[in-house]
Amino acid sequence: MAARPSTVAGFRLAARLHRVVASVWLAWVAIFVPSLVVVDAAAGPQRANRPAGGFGAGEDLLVFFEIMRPVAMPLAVVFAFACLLLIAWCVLWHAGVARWWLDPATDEARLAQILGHGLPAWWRFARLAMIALVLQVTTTAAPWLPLLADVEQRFVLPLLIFGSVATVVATVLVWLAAFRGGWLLAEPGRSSALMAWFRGLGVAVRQPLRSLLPVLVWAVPGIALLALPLLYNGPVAALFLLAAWLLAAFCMVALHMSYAPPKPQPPKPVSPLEPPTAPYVTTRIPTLLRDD
Amino acid sequence: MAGGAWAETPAAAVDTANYRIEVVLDPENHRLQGVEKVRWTNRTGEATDEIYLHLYLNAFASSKTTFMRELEWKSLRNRSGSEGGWGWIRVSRLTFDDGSDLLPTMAFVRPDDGNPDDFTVARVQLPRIVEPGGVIDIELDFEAQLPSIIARTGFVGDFHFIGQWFPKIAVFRGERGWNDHQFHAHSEYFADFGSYLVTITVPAAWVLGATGIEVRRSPPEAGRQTVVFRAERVHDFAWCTAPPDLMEVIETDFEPGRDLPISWFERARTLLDRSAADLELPPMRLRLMVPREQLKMVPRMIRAARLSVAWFGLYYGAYPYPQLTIVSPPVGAEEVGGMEYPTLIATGADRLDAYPPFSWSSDIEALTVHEFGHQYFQGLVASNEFEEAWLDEGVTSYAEISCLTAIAADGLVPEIVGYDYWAAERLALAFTNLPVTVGRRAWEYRHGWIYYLASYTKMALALRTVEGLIGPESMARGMRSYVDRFRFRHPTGSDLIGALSEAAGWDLVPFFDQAVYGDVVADWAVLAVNHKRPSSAEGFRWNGEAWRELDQEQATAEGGDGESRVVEVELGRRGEFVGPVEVELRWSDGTTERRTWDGETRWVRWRLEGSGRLEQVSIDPDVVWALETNRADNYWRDRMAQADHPLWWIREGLRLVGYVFLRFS
Repeated sequence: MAARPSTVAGFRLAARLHRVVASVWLAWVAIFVPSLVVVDAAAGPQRANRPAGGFGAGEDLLVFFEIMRPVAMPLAVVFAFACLLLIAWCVLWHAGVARWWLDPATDEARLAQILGHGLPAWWRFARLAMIALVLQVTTTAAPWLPLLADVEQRFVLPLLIFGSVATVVATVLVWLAAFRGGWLLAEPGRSSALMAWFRGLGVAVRQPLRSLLPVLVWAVPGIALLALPLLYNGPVAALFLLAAWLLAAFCMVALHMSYAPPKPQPPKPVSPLEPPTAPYVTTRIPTLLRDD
Repeated sequence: MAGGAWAETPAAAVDTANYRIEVVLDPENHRLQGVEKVRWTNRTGEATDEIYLHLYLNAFASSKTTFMRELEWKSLRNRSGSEGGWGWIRVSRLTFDDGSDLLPTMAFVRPDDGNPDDFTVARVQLPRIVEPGGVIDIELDFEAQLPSIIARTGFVGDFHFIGQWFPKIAVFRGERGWNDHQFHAHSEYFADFGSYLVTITVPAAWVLGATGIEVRRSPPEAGRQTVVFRAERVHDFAWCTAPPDLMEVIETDFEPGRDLPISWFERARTLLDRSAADLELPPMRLRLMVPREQLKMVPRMIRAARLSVAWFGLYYGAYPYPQLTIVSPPVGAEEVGGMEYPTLIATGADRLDAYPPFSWSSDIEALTVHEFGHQYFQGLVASNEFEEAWLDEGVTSYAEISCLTAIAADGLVPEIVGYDYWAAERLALAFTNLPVTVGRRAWEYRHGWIYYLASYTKMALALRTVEGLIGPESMARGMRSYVDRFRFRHPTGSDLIGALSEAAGWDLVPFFDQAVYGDVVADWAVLAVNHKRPSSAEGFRWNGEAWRELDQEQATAEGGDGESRVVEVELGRRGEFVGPVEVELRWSDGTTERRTWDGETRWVRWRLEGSGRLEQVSIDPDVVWALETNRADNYWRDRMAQADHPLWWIREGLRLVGYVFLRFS
């Protein structure tokens, strides 16, 4: 039976899994530290000399290009590697949390135990993530293909609108299916990521509003919090960045947990001294003795 | 349609080569049959017994022509099938004014590269010498096969854009001989001014646009129509035709009372120091030929055209022709766009340009402004595009960017997401790893993109630097003087440099020698700034009568605060470009001073005395040297700037991506 998504449950469980939230946050920061080191080493001394009023008209991008050009390739490599690590980490904690939650033998939220649950299933969940990424790229590009053809002007606006809407809808569906399919994939005996994704899609389609609500409540703010530091120019930009990303980590864990099914309870042990709990039937055995 | 009024003709050089051409288009086979009469006058002080004919369509004859070889990737386009492909032109009759047959004397020449497969220049031996001032008449019949469009001219389906389609007499430069250059991929054209009377026969009901104005249209007969165009004081003739279901013609106008921004008028009056009467612009007709799929962009195209006419009319003189035709090619024919011909320009637009985010880009305005700019630089001021491409492309680019900057600053095109156009050009120049020489012949660059970088970008930035050095008033007056003096003539780079030097009041030849004819790079840097206390005075000083022992004044030390100190500022010139540069010094007491370094030596040390610390040094704070693209080392400050935003590099990277999108989308 498909789980009923709950944003409130997602919040409660994310609070319970605060160690996971912290680890997600720390990993995000740590993964991008090498990029920051490369940038600071290349640009730090020259950026430190920038005039008090900023660079002259049109200068800032030119100086940026001049400073970063020598390190563009190493930075690209470091950044790409960081992105791969980030994906691998996301797969690990998603898998770990899902399998830990579905293991009736676990109760306390120990980080090591959670991540330990994720390792054996990492490749399975990685395949699910790759399926979603490929589908994301495909469904994002496909709606725009008609514009490459020599279509008449009167079709351009409808195609643009269709492409925009289709891209958003496809993105939401692909990842909804992946999130819901991930919980199905975590069940014992499941191994096909592709089947899990399709089953997740089916569940999401059968519960469209319930599936969508956690996306609106957790995913949208979470992504916004990841990007918000780019817009903040205040004096404590670094602290703001760390705080925003911490909240974003919480949102991402809450999103994941919003789709969690009820935690299976461990079976109770049966004592021979206790009367059987199931109803029983009294059978009267005929005897030669009289009852009186 | 009746003919329009023509402005005053300032000189007799406007009728050197007069053409009368009758041409019939075969739309099925995309062929032209033509009869041409040319009256050529020897306007030089040298006699000649030969003429050279440009037969540019032969550049499309095969993959081995000079043009095709230089085109690189475009020559790989598939040209097979019923769409045809190759183009050529053949002169079948060539007679002199005395009736003699000149065809046997016609021989193809390849003075630029000796390519035996190139047939774009032909030498014709005349039966007599043409003395200075002499006039000859030549008649010829020609047949031309239009190529499918890969560049400049040809057809796509029923759309025909016909440029460089007739045998054209080259320019005779007297002592320097004939300008007999072949047709190269990255060069354009050079011809004499004259009048054109061209009779064009095309299928009935097809729309037709051409250089000049329509003077007569015959009623359709046997499915064809004949239209006569007249153009005076032009040096080329191009035309465009297509069925009415493919292209639509929009007739509009430029009305100065409506279309000339008042702020532009006032600013031009100030910069040029001219009266309002001097800057009055006449009305003129605008004629747009636009594919039906681009009709949504027509209002924006018209607005761009009007703003172009206003800008160039104010700063470079009123447009002397009564009509401008603007052709936007349809899908598949984009390669004829971005090109200029006298009173006809080919622009371009995409179907997506009507919708954001593509509508945010100023491509339509940039193309229109640039191609209209060529109406002046190369159209009126007819420099040699083969040998000095920078003189029209660079000057036009400078004028274009100045116009776009004004358009964006004044919010005259609300759709545009404005950005710093000059900064974008500097970024483009910064992309190259090797220094670029501007002053080359168009086909002598290492790659095609270097031709664009040199002739367009670097030259525009060089002129921007000149503007910063001599001031906007002198620049505006110098440019206006150049155009006024050399309208309908063939100036060279020296003429432009002379006009600007005269307006500036100082010799700009050393600057242009470096910026145009050299490949030197401008790059200054703050090498060091040292704060010292004045050294203690020891020893003796001669007071005119005797040696006196000096007083102990101050201890020598670095650092400290609030007391008299000496600051040594060392500036260096890392690049080889020598020129004056301004340096701004900001002190801790809030005062700011500016000094000029002539840059003659490789480095200089200034010893400054002040009561406070020197807080900041900025070389070229006003960004006068647009040519300098290494700017990070132009700045020094005493206390380091506050810590950067940790994601500053992502923000700047995204901005850079945005600039690239707006510039190149």
